[in-house]
Amino acid sequence: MNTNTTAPSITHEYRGVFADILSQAITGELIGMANYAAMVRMYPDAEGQCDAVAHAANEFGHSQAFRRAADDLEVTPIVNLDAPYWQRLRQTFLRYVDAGDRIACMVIQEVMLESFAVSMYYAVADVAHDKLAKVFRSIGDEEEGHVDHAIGELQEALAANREEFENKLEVLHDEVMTTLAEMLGARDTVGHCGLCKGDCVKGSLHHVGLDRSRLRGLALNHYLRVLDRIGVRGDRSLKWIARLPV
Amino acid sequence: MDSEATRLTLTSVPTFAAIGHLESWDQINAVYRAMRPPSLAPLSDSELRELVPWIPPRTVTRFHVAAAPAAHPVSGIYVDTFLTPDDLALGPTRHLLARVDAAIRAAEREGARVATLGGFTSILLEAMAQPPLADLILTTGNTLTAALIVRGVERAARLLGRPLECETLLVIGATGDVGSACARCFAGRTRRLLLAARNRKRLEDEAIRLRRRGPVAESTDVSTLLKEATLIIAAASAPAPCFNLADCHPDALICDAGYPKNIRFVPEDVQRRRVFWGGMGVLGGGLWSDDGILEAFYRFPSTHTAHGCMLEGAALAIAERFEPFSTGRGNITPERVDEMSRLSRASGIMLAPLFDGAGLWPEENANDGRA
Repeated sequence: MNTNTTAPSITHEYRGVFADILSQAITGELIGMANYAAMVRMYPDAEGQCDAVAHAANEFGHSQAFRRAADDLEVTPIVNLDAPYWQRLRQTFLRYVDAGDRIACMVIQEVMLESFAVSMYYAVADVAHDKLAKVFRSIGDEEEGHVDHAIGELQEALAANREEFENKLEVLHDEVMTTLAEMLGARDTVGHCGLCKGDCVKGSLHHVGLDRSRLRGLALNHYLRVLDRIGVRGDRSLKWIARLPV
Repeated sequence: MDSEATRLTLTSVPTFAAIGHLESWDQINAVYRAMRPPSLAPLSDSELRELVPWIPPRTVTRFHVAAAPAAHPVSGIYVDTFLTPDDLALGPTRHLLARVDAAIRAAEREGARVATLGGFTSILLEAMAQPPLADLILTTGNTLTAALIVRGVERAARLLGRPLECETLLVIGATGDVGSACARCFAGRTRRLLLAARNRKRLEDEAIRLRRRGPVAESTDVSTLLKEATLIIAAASAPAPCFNLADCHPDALICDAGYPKNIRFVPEDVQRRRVFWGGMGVLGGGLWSDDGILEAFYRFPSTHTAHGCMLEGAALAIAERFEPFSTGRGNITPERVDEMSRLSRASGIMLAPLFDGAGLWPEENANDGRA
């Protein structure tokens, strides 16, 4: 539901902010596509492999939908898979692919990255003009489905060995969520993110009714609720959150 | 208390849960200081305000209680609603109720058998909005809070040599669950009983009920009664202190049982007045957390001390009486207070030594006649 009671005016600032947001979204979806594609070889059976391929294709479809939205808005997004934060996330993911750790890959892609994406897409949908809002909301709904897809398997992994599972999650949290928190943090550790056209978009979000700290809060809230659904003990995940960069 | 090794091997499934919220941003800060590694700088107030409201209700720490030093410990969890002091100031909103409900679900997921609802969270159960739960029993904890307030007032009066029958007692929040229980326990035992509350109709009903046992006056204007009362029990639900110590009778003995506190404690305003924090108890066999988090934010001048509401869950768990002992509003009778007093004593829960914002009362000697 769009919370705007009046349609936002599509100003120069509006286009600038959404160009940067779309750059992040397209790049993130392509990283997701590459991650799912890399997971294909981790499945021993054709069904699992097909599933991973379908997910990869789905992510590519999302990136295309965002590209079309950028065209509609008459902005040119930057697509850069080597953007420092995304590259760091991708390298972490590939390390777990190489290690054959499918659970770790699912946690990174379907819990951490998707929590980040879903919460951001819904927040953006709430402030964007109708056509763009529909794109973000429908992709958010589909990404939410990815999270749901992972929950059952992760619950089984937790039930098999809670301590081991939570320990693994803690390591992944420190690697991946730290990077995601930095992306939405008040201070950037990598300098320019490699996707914003000019200065960091975080300082301009107010032009479209968004707020960096709110986006960060929504992402953490979504992530914690997913961990709760998996069955991770709340006191453990709370300690992880407490040490994230702000 | 058991050895460290025994503590660490305790099962992770809690028998009881204490659901609550933190009283102040300072207290919230203490939790995060304890959770963050020493290599990281503490979060600033503004950083905390950015983070905390987004955290879904969850277990914050696991702790254990024991009735006596040699007794087998019982495990509990503290589940925080992550309602902030700013949320509380808005009153009982849907957001607040949703958070309490989510905290109850978190306690249920953990497998706790009984949960107490501390501070503002008890409003859910006081309003009889009992959510459907499979195995978790809820209790507000208000009966033990009232019992500890009554015992605290009796002890304070005894320590100061002030016979209750000479005192004019004011109960602030007299139509609330805790306040009405205290008023009923003291009706007919003091020279006069003054009742203050915001809801005039409920206040008049309570006054009519108690007038049969002695002189009672009531008012929705606390300020006039504050000057008259020599003994005060402050048990109002308020998001922040709302009464000044300096406005109280110059010789007032004040039991502040609010959470957050009702009275602004300013040491310079104490003068001849005496204040203690009411509704506090201590566990005879100890109260300790696995990770030290509880000790970091839940600190009092005496060790193993906790609020009555939290301890009611512990008492029921130790006694293996898994029942909704305190529910609804205005249901606590002196007989139920006596019953909870007996139950809590049998579970090793004693009245905490009296203390105020400046520390322990000088008259207190540890374990001296407090049971």
